[in-house]
Amino acid sequence: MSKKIIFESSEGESFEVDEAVALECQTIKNMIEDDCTDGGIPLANVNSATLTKVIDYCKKHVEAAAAAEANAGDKDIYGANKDIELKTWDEEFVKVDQPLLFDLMLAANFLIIPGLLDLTCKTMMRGKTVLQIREIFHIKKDYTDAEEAEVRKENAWAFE
Amino acid sequence: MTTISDLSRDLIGEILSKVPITCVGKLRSTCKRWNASTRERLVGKAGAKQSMGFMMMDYKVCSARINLNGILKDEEGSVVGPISIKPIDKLNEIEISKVFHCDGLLLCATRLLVWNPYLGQTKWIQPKKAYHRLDRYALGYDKNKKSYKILRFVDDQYLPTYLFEFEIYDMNSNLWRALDVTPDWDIEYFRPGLTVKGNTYFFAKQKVIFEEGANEADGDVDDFLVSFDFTKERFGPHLHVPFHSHLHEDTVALSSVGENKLAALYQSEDINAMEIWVTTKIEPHMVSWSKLYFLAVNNMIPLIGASFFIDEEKKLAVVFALDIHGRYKRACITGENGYFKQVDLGEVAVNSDDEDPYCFPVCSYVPSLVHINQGLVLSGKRKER
Repeated sequence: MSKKIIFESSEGESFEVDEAVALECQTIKNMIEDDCTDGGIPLANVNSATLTKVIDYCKKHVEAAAAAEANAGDKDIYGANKDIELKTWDEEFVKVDQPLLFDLMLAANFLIIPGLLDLTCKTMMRGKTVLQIREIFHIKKDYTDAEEAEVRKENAWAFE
Repeated sequence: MTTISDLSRDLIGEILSKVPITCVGKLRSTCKRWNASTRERLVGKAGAKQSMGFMMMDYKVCSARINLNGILKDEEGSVVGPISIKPIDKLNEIEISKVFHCDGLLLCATRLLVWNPYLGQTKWIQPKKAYHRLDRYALGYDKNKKSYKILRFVDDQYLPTYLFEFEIYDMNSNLWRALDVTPDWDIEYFRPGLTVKGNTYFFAKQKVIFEEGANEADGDVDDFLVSFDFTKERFGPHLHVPFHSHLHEDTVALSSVGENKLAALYQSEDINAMEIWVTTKIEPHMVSWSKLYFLAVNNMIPLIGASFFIDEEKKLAVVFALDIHGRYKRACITGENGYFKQVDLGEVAVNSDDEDPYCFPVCSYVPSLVHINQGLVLSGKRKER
């Protein structure tokens, strides 16, 4: 029986996970190494909905890594397929509403889960216009129209 | 509730660094803070890799974006195919016929302009005397990246007057200096060099001095790479290439793979097969080629003035070339197991002034935060002269 770690969300809800899953978070890994995880880890800035998703992500990636290791002997095409499967899973995983995506990004940053931070950052801006980005992230336009047009023109080479 | 505006500068930089480089304009026009952030930290550095480059097409500087994973989509989500090419309006107001890339900087000729597209900085370079249509250029840096330099040379004995000049420009001192060079090679004027790790490599042939009445076709001469070392400011020894081009019609083109490798394309007109080789090691005094990344395509249509991009991981190459009559531009995507796909890029624009309309070398682009030294203007702000 593997060791369990208990997370506590901002609402005070407890989540029990395998240590291997918790180790996906660099922040938790450090805490485990420093032996200060007894009695649970309170995550005051991660709510239950977000935490559930974070644990899902870590579980899936631990399983995928284990599967990849088991198949390390006969890699080739099979290994590549696994890669694609995990990528597809990741893409489905981030099909959530914007506030949750943003919370996931914050949690990934706080818990230091590089893969999840990468995934959420990439997804946050994808396929959105400047207006949509401003609206979603509550950013005030601080350019004049002329200034904004100039910035766009200067960066036109980059194929936005 | 935490919003994105509450995040630390570091985290904003981190988030933006993961967005693809193609979104840089969008991010910068969102707000001033993001604009500033993207100038301190590279967008796209940590994100999905994008194959991007700059090329000359129909006498215009264009940026090219290639997606070897499949299909590109534009902002509205419409499919634009695996290759998208877009002229750069700002640059096409001035006379440019060639572009070279080194470390996120582009050198544009014939009037010399250095441009960092990412930072939006430009700098005009004044010639010592005048520009010449046969000028060859290369952009590089010394080994500590302390100084970016431009090599200019012309060596042509067939013009009415024998032109022979080798000089180097230092972007810190803003001065041209003559170089003492005695070349035993010839670099054809339509063969641009390629800069890898700050040094430039040219495809060259043994110099042949023709005597009166000699038959040119007799000479089968050695071919090799010649390096220019921007630290030592001198040309290196002949470097081996894993093919031999006999005929003038054989195609040889160079490209870079990432920031540290060079690739060479060879197509013999005789057998219509194409080979692409990638270096395993490349220094000004030595080169080794990998058989592993050797990519051969049988029954390839003969190429004219080819240039190419290569994706080493996927073992795919995109070769830009003209059709056999030189009228249509094409991109051929080739890969292992005979994968071949052709993308039509339209008719060639004809400009009767130019004897070489089909040369459209591509330089692959990796953004950088290298500031262009503006002499007295040290603020790093763009200032055009």
